[in-house]
Amino acid sequence: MSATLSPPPPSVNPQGGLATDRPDEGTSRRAFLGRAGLTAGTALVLGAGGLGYRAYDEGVFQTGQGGAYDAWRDWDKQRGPIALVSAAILAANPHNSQAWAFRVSPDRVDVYADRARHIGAVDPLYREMYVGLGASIENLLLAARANGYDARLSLLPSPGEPVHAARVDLAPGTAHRGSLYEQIPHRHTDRSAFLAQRVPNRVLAEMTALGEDLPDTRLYWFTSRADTQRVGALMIAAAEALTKDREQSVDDNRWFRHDWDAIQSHKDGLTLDSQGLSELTTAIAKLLPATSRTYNDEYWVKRTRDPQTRTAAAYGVIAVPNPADHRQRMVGGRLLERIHLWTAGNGLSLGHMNQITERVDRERQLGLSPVFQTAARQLVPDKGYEQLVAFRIGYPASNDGRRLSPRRTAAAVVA
Amino acid sequence: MSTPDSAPTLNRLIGVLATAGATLGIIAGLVDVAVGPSIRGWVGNKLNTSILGIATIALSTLALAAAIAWQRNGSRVGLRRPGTAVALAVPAILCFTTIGRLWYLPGSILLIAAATILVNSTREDFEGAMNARRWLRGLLVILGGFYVFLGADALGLAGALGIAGGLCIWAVLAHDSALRRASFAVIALCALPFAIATWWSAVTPLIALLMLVLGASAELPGRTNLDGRGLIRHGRRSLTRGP
Repeated sequence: MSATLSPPPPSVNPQGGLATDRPDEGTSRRAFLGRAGLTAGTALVLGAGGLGYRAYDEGVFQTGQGGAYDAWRDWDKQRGPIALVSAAILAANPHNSQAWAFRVSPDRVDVYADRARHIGAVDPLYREMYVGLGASIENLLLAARANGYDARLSLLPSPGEPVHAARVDLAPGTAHRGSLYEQIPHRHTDRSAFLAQRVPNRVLAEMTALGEDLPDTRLYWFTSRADTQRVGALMIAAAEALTKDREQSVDDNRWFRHDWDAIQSHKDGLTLDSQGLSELTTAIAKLLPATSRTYNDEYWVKRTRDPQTRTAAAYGVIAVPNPADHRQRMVGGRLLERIHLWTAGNGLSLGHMNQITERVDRERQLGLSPVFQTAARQLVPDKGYEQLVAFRIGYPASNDGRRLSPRRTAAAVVA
Repeated sequence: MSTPDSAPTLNRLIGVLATAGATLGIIAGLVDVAVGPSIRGWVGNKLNTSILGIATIALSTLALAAAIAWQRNGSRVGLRRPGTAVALAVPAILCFTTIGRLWYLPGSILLIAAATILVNSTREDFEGAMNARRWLRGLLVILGGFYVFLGADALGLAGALGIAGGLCIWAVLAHDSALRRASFAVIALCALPFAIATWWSAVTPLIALLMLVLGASAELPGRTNLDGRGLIRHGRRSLTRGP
């Protein structure tokens, strides 16, 4: 019969659709997909739990909190000479190494260099350490005036003992809270992008005037496009050279605190929060495992290129006759701190750019070909002066560069 | 698996173990709150010993409630078995991250109690318990717990939003309301504020997204099509049917 040779007509289910040969196939697939969905959902919840714990463990929600940041909040809560130390410890300093120690008596504060906190090959000739001490001394003097002391400063008061950086004698005086003093808890090194906005010459002149009473210091500004590009290119080249110097690279990375427990324990060093990254990028960086030294180096060079040099509105260079002289370094550090405090109170941001001088000192230490020594000399037009430190300034594009850095408390640095 | 004769004794032992572990956990949490900063080596070198101590007390209280319910109620079959095991195991595991060495003893006791329940449960107990919707709601309970935990870690308004959001989600899930669309809307309202306030953390938006997806799957009609059917039984039956 021909009917037996023809394929059977497809059956129709009650909903009008074609029935399958295997009625349970649809149910089975649904069940399988349902179970797969539940399994995936469970895995995602477990993953979210892991991320949540990581966020807790790395302090993602605790930025700027905890004992490592108490010094910023409690900086003016004490009275007497210890109050001066509370202000001094918030100063700018290399790699947030806080290489200082203080001895306090009712009428005197002595400042010492803590050489155990030296940042090694990054600052082989102790230039930045003493610049940082100078910045600290400036805060101390501002706080002395604010707390009603008439302070008299002696730099390197113990001949032959460069570790004894300064002595500040205190006598009763008239209290005056200056505008720079008020900015001490608001000063932060800004490593984020700046706005494409020129800094007016009037503003630069005001900053230059901050150093009029400081002997043997000069401040040079680089504001034209050609100048900022030239200085920026030199800084990038110096950063690249630094990362290729293994010892400098290792010592540079040594002060980076990767995890929250280390930050809270050491209360010093560079952190992800202070890198000028956006909040989202910072959080993701905290959630991810710590990166290698090589990657950190590459990223630092990249950040030096963009945004730090690309968005710098101007560069400032502080020069002194002899950058190897500790006294001149500390005087230059005082000027640097004044400028930094002034920018904090006037809507500007400042980032320290020490790549060039770090290579200059390394060349001197190792007797290398004076590539950066020659270039640095050309940046300073006045004969008899050399670059001590450099920085970039501009108007901040966000608050990303204004997060707190960890600090040891005054009690922890008083001998 | 226990025999009918040994079951009452075993159940009593589980109850005693669970009560002891949870009580010790509460005591450990109190010790952390009281003297945590002085014994950081014993409490895992944690920064916020007060918050973590309180979290430990809260989680131990949950375990204690499950232990008491286990002891009081004569019926220890079906959903109650895996439910009690989870209520003991989750605090036990979480608190290993909160108070360091102080949790070693209570955590171990609670885990032993939970494991004993699971080992002595029948397949039917799980089949009755593992329903797709219940599973999804269980996952939402866990996500709500993450919110409470992270909210306690965060400070200020954002932290309060996290804690309130997590507690609110627990409250919604505690009532198996017939108004499922409304339940989902409340879950969404609980999930979003903390995620928005801490969008930059990357973690809370992810958790909120999961809450919305799982909440929609569990609460919106027609999303799962698995309601009321034992998942394991349903799946096994489906997969074993051949052509």
